[in-house]
Amino acid sequence: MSRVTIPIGPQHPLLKEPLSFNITLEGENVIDSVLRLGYVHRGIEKLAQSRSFVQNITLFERVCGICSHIHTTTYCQAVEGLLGLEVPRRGVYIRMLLCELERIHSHLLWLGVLAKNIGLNTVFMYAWRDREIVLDLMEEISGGRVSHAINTIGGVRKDLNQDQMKKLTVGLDELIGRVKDLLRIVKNDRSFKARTRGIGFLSQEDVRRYCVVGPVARASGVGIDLRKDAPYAYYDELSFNVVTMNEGDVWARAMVRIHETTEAIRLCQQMVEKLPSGEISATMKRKVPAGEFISRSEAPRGEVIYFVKSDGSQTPARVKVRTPTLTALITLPQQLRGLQMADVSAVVAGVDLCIACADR
Amino acid sequence: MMIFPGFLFLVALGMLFHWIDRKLIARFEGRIGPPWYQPLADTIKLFAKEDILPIGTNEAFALLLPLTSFATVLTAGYYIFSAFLTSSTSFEGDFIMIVFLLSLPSLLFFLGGWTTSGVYSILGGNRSLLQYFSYEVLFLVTLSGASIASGSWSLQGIRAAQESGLPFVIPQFVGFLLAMAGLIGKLKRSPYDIPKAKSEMIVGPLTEYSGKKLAMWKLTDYVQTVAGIALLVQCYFSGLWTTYSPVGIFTSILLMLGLQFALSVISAIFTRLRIDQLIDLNWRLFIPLSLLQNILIIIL
Amino acid sequence: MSFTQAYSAIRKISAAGDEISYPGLNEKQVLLSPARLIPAVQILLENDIYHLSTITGVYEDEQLYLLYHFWDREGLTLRVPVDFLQDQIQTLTQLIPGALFYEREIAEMFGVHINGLDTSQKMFLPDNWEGGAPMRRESTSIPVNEKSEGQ
Repeated sequence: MSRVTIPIGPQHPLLKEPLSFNITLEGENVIDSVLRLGYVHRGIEKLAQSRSFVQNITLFERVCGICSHIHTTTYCQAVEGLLGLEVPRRGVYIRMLLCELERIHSHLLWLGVLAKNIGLNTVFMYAWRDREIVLDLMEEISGGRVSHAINTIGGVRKDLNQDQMKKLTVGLDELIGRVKDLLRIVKNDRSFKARTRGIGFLSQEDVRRYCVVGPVARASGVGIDLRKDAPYAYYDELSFNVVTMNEGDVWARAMVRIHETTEAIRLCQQMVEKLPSGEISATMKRKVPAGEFISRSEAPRGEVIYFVKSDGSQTPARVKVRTPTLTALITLPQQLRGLQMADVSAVVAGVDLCIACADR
Repeated sequence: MMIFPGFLFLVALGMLFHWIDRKLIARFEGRIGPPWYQPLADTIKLFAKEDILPIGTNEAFALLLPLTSFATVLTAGYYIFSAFLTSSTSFEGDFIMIVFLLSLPSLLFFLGGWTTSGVYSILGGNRSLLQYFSYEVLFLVTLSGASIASGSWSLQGIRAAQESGLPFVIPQFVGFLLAMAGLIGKLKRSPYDIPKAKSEMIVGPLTEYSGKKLAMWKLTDYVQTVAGIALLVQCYFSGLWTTYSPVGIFTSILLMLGLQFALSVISAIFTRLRIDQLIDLNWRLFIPLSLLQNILIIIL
Repeated sequence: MSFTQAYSAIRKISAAGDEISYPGLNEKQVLLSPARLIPAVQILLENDIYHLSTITGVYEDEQLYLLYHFWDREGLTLRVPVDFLQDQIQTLTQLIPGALFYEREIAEMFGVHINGLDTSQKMFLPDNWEGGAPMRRESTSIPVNEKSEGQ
């Protein structure tokens, strides 16, 4: 059989963001694929060096669309570490609340995209309709549906009043019911399973060798979750489960993500109950002293690490961001090998790409 | 002739059923769905668009293929629909001719992709050919159950056999279900819409078409759907008060709407099957069942 | 097999006398000479510390260092100085395949030559990039490629 090379991307209905990979097919099976990143590379790390610490919050919000809040949270944690600044408890709780709401949003969006890619438009519509509930909640809290601009060095900028908390409770209760429905579909629907089981397999060994993080790693049995392993913020005060599955295929990743959504909803409910009173932010000293700080957190896609170095001047000397999608991208060629052309869309969707994150 | 059951009628009916389909699927998905004039508006818009083809395409072919496609379904539709009203247009052997005419668009669809030779068109075309071989055969085998049972190769004969006995859907219920599956495969609807799978092959063989030619492909699709549904109604439900009278026509319309509803439901609840799963399903399950059905008909 | 064992073993081959501490730094760091990088990574792998978070390039007073951030419930960073005139940095991809993208990014952004790494394809920068390594201190402005023709 002759070999055909199909270009997938940079523009393709499969991909939400530009990424190019050329797949070599022999007959109907994929033999190899070549990745090319960089279509959305904006040089954010270099730009950060010429902006002040506070201006950089706005910059890092825009690394990614979906996980914008977690990026600013991690960055602010790093700078607060350099300053030795302690954020008041209420501020940290509001940060965590938005982080978990973002996680719910990201997973629901992802489920819709996966369903759409495998042809199950109905689930796509349902998942995105449920996503509207989360977006409304986030808009209540921060004023923005996707981009929040609520973090500041030392805490958050907006407070929650009783009215908003009531709306949160109502919305979260509704969400739990909806997500349970979606879970039933993913777990039981035969045509969904027919298109997602057994493809895109990564073994535990692969996860370790490629340093994969996030739901992709948890779906292959490696239960790393920074909220449990090295709790930042006040995650050690809340109770939740880390979900792992052993199958390592696209279906396992779907299961992990949906369970995580349920866990995130429960976390949000706990936070609303336990929200401490007090200030929401601490005042920042003018100058950030020289030093280095490493801040890690668990974004919807895995571990985000920020390394911030200050040399005592107005602007940071170095900010390094590593986002979790990059770890999953390394494994894509291996996941795609041997698959049929029709499975490519399911695998690419299953990895939950956020190319803007990866390219920066 | 032009009006009923000719060109205008078929196109209008095709658009109506297409709109019903989209509205139903939208409601199943929790959306509102397009207004009634959407398919008409889409077609008018397409006719006004620029017609671009890749360099090196045989322009004559690229025009001929959609035109021929459209012409074949119009012809088949003419015979099918006039059989609802009168027996005078029916002749011995017209049943086979109709099935043949209805199978041409799929073949021309594949050739359309081949002519415009883009990567997506060719790959989509290959899949559509595989699907074509499988599901046209299924459609023919199951429908021939109807003609075997009636002992005639004409539509008139099939209708008459049912009116004097039971409508074929009852003894050939399995055959009817398989014919529905065959129709879904022919029309390349979900779950069998691999050749048109947006997230994989862009639009498959039709990727490079635009403007009037694309409009004609789409019109072919609309008319093929109604013609296929009408054919199923005639072959399986003819005994049910579908005489040549207003009541009969009304019942026929209801039955057609019912079949369209079933098609929409099936599209909404299943994912798209992979090409190997589709072919597998067809040759391992559907065709043997339909052959068994036909053997039973011959024996009994 | 533990973090503390690995840490003390690596400190033994470290280039610095005392434990490194930068003001504010919240994770352990060890200064290594480039030749000691691979042995240190091997010690880590023996102690089941396999997760490389990322590789950062950072300037400290005119000297460029590569920081290899490892993590196993605690963070450990290996700090390796880079000498542009001598190609001493070896690739880690034989031991940790997941280091590939991070090393390619360092090679592209800082212009560091890493032995054993295939840098024929650019990763983040466009194929026709003319400006040299963008993250180097010398590259203060981003060069604009020629204006394209047309509207």
